[in-house]
Amino acid sequence: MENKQKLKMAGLLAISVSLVIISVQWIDYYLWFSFGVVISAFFLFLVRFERKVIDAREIVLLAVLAAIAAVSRIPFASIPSVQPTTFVVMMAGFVFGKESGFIIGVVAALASNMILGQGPWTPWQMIAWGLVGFSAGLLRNQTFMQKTWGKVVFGVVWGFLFGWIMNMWGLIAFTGPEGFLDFQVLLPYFMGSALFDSMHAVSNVIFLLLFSGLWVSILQRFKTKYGLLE
Amino acid sequence: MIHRFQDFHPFLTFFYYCGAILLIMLFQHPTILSVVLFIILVIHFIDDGFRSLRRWRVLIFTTGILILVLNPLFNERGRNVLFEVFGHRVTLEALIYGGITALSIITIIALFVSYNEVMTPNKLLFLFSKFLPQFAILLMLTLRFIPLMKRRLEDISAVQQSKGISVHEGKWRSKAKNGLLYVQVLLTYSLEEAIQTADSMNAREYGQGKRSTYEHFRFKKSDGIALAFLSILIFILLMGRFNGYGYLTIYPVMGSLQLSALEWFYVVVLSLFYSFPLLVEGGGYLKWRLLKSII
Repeated sequence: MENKQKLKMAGLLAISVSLVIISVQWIDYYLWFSFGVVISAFFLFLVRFERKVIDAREIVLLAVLAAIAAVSRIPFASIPSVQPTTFVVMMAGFVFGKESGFIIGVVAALASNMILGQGPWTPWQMIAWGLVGFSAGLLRNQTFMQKTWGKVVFGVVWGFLFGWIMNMWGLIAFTGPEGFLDFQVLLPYFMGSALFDSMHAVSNVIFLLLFSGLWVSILQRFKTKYGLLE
Repeated sequence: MIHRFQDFHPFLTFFYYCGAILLIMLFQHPTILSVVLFIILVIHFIDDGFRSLRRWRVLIFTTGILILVLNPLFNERGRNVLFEVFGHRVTLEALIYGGITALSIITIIALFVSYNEVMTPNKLLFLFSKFLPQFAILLMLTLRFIPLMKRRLEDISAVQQSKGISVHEGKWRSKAKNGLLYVQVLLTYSLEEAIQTADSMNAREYGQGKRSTYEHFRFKKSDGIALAFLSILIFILLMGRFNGYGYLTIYPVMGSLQLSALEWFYVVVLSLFYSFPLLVEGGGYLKWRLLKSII
């Protein structure tokens, strides 16, 4: 078991190193290349989800959480760039694990865009929220995530990271792929979004400080009561 | 009956839009992109006289103009300097680069508007249910829950407001706190209900064999012909693009803006691809007239 884990890590490392080498080698195509990697990773995830046997209670639970994450934007319509979707997805990932967190984030983004209208931003939102849930599930057993300050740092980091992922499509739109290599373009663009990102980060922190304990125990109780998504 | 673009199998419509976006990203040339944008605008005009596009006009114009202005502002590279403002060089290259990106983003948004019209959620769900059935049912349940949760949120806010907890007044912080309090009530409320939904799903034999879909789309012969037609066009275009046609090199030295004769051929092929909905519509109209004249 120990060896298998090591082998996996070695394989992952080898893949990442070869990715870096390949994208340096063919630097003109690095953007296409990274799109390819992201999309195939995404589909591998979906195929994995597809092959799991999930019973009705679990799938309904996932749908309820995704719907709440999508709908929770409504009471916040009067406050610009504050939405608890990130918080809800984070909590879901934290309690139900990385794969459920990822799926909830992806479905919440896709479903809310199906109602509001799709656009070129849909895939980016799906990936950003999916990764929020995934990373929350991945880090949930670390000691720092059990503590309040750990969760707060996590919320701040995601407030900015989310904005940066969403900036990518804008950056490609505004300057083309070459914008990524040009620091002079990159800096003002990211500075411009910093205000919105910090609003996002601050609201994440407020939600986490006030509600994370309650939400975790609500979800945890539900999870143990019905034995779901163990 | 007039056969319309909307009536094709969802797979074909999806294929058309995927191909359309891919080709915009590949053929980065101002002339070619203008032709593509023109065709998409014509599609919109014939479809509903710009009615759906009009709702997006603010987004389209602001992003378009912003990109066009911002690019020369940040980007000084290029050999053909047009003029200088406060020691900042405005180059022809940067302007054209901005123009190309502005054109492609406008075209993509216009394409998405038409996608939202044609590719209704039930078609997308049908596609998902063929390839990713478990993901499809999750998505379908979520889509069903969203209006339900909206209604529940209204109920919750009515009760909470009578207790003096409101999201419309007060400080920013208390508004945010109360807002999430609503969502928390929604969470506990919905979790218990979810078990009931799941049990009734189980009672109706959920997970026993393959699920059927309510709306059934059949892949007809016309879908096959259309798929072959579009695939051949894409294949020709990809071959052309990989041989270096239909792309304006800007850096380090800008290529000629003029299109060669061979590139015009690709423009024609590209137009055939994009005007596929128009061809279908036109063919249907002709058939209708013909049938009427026979009577």
